[in-house]
Amino acid sequence: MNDHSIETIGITKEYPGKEKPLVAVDHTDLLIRSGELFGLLGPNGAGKTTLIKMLCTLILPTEGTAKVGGYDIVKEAAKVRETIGWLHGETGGRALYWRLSARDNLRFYAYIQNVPSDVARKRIEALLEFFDLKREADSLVKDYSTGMKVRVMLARTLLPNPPILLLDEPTVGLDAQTAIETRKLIQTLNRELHKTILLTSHNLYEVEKLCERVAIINTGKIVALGTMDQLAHLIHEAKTVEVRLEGTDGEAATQIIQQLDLIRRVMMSERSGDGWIIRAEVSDLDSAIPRIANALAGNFRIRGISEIRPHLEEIFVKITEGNNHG
Amino acid sequence: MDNQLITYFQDNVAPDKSEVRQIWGIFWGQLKIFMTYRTWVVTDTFNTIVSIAIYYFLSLQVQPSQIAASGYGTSYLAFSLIGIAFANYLWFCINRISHSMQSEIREGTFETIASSPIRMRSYLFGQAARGFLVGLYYMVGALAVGVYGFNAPLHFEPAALLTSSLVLVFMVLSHLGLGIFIAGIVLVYKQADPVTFMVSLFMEFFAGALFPLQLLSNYPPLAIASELMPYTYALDALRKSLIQGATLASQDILFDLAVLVVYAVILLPLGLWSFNVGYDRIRTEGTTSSY
Amino acid sequence: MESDKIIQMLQEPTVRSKTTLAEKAKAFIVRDFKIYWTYKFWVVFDVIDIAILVATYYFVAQIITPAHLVAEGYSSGDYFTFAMLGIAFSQYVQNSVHGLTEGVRDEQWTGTIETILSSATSYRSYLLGASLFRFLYGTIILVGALGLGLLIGGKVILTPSTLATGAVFALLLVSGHLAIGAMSAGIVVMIKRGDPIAWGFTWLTQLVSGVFYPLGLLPWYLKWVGFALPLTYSLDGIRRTFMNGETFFDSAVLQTDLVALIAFIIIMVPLSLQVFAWAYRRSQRQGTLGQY
Repeated sequence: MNDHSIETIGITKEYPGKEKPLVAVDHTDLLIRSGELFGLLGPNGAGKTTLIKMLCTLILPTEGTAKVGGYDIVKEAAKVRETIGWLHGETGGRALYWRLSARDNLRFYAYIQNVPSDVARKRIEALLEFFDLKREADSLVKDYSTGMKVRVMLARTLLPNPPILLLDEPTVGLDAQTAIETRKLIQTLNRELHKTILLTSHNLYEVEKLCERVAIINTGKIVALGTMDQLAHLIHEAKTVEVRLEGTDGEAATQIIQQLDLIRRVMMSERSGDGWIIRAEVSDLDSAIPRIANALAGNFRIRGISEIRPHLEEIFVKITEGNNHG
Repeated sequence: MDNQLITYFQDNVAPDKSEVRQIWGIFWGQLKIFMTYRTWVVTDTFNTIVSIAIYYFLSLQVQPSQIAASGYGTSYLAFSLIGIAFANYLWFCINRISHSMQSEIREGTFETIASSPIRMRSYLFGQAARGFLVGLYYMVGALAVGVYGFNAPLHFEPAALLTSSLVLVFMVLSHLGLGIFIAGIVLVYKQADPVTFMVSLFMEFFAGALFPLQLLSNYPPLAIASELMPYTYALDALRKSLIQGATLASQDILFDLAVLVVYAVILLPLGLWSFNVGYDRIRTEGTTSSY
Repeated sequence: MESDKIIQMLQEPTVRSKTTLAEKAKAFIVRDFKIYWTYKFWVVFDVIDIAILVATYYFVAQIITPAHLVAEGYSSGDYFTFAMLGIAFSQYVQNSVHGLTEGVRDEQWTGTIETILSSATSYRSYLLGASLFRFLYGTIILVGALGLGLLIGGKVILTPSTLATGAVFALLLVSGHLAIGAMSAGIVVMIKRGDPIAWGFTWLTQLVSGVFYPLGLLPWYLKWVGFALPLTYSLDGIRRTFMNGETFFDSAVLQTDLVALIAFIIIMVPLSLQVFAWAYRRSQRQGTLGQY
């Protein structure tokens, strides 16, 4: 059987609150296919970590359940634990034994993860090498920098070679170079070893770059789910036009643009090097670009007018804001 | 670079699910961590020696006839040395499980363990094994200081040592359930040092670590409580073997051992069960870590 | 976002007046009480712990001969009262030393020590503040322990003058141990290890200060170590006061105890503050203040 999918079925977690119970995860259905690299986004306290900890069997759901690798997280918790590798990057290395060296942390983990000793030895050396920990491998983790600690945690997660990886903020606290390497590794693990990966990150760029599909969770509910393109379509208001002008005086041009009837608002108008940039939200993209070009023609030298595709960041802010207010 | 690493993860390795190996892993890791606390070991060794000295000077005031009446020789130093050294050993074993549980929760390492395939039982036994070994160092040290430093009259012949070692094993087994139970309390309340300390004081008091139990006979509730303590029986057997040289041939010792076995059989499953109740509770509350 | 409101608030000029010592003390006590209250069921354990100890020595007293006590000048020869006073008062000061080092250690763990020491509060106020609640709490437990001891057969002489004398000794004992506490807190800040030192100190004082036996039983070298500790003089003073009914006016021994305690405090309080300041500056230099 090669089912490495993650499926939640109406999974719900309620914590008792002072007046009414606090619903951390609210009847969530989610299917992550075998071999998929899936991103989960949400503001702080949206329920990401609670959801992941339920998948790790660390928190019991109040209602509903989930299947990880085909195993029920409540009834077959032991099987689930053999299938997953979990990384909680936000702890910044707190979840390691600070009074053991990196090598000893990994050896210890090999014992409790049932990795046979000879295999463990080879993998530990390879992981220490990859994460550039070889030189410090025998000094105590307490003397490591945060980035080094996160690298040890990453190595630890990979050590048992689990088919399903739950990576909660895997690059938090890493320097840029290591973060790039780690992203490459995550991609390789997914593409070459076909690992199912659930990734959460505050770095939206990372999710955008790595993940095929993304879900946005807010106040315990999945509020949006799909590929990047699908998500971009979800926010129809996000039609932005960027106008680049020659010369460093754009104020007059901004006023002209502002008066056009299809301009909703000017979002930005500022000097950029030896030129000027104006960004504006428009109601109709197709007619906006020629209209702006016409209005400015003659008085200003236009370098370019183009449409700006929304970043995941904008999508994210739009969706979670709308969700909070509605 | 990537590809080189990937090669180590392409083979399908059958997991090594041996429970003995899991227990060994926990024991090994915990012992390594302990070894980094050198200041602790030094001061604890110092404290052990000092505490024996305190009982030595206290013993100078005790009337030997009063101890003789209890049937454990005439030396109060030997009497209290055994009472305290073994009570401390027990406390060390019991406290270690809950104490490291507390720091694992505090440091977030408990979640790593709880989300791994290791059995909770193996984890607890591994923790306990570390406590037993390290505790042994202090206990043997205390006895040695008492005997060679302050001339406490103890029997160190092979037969007496063998008997007391056997009693020691059953003493530990009969209290292991209690230690696991307290570890369960730590899971839920995140802190238990005051509890274990109180338990150890109760044990010392009701088992008569520092005074002959005959003195309790005027207070029936205290006397009954004393008879309910497993440590009472362990201490009786230990004193009989180490002070009087009694062996397994003695019926008293066999009786004490039998009581300890009964306690082990009852308390161990009870401890594991209550630990699981606590474990499920924190999984419901979502408090497997607390920072 | 509400950043406008915050900016507006910060634009108002801040009048930074020195908070008075009393206000700071109150702030510390309230803080520690609130933290303590989250562990409120611990009070039960503390009370039970001391009750068991007192009860233990009630029974130990029954196998002990009074000869050594009488020879040392505790005329009643009542070992239980002797041990009860010794245990209650040594626990009292040990709790405070432990309390201070544990408090500092905890704050290092949680990182709050960096917050406090980078605020406008001096380390002296910090140390004093951090020990206040412990002493307050310790006093309640002390009174409880003595009450229990008297209930189960301790015999003390209580007159206005013995109470006054005892109170003076207790006060000096506390001041002396504040100094020791500050010093060990300094060591904790430096080596990042709390318990072992406090425990080592606990055992040492129990050995040489005569908590469980009169000093006459100790060999001369241990007796001399005892003479360097304030607990030795305070215990002797307190016991003579309550067991024999002596006061400062009629007892040369008590006068000696008093002078020794005052001398200890005069030397140790500035010295220990120096040690803490030195240790604090050292970890500042090494950047290891908030390390665990």
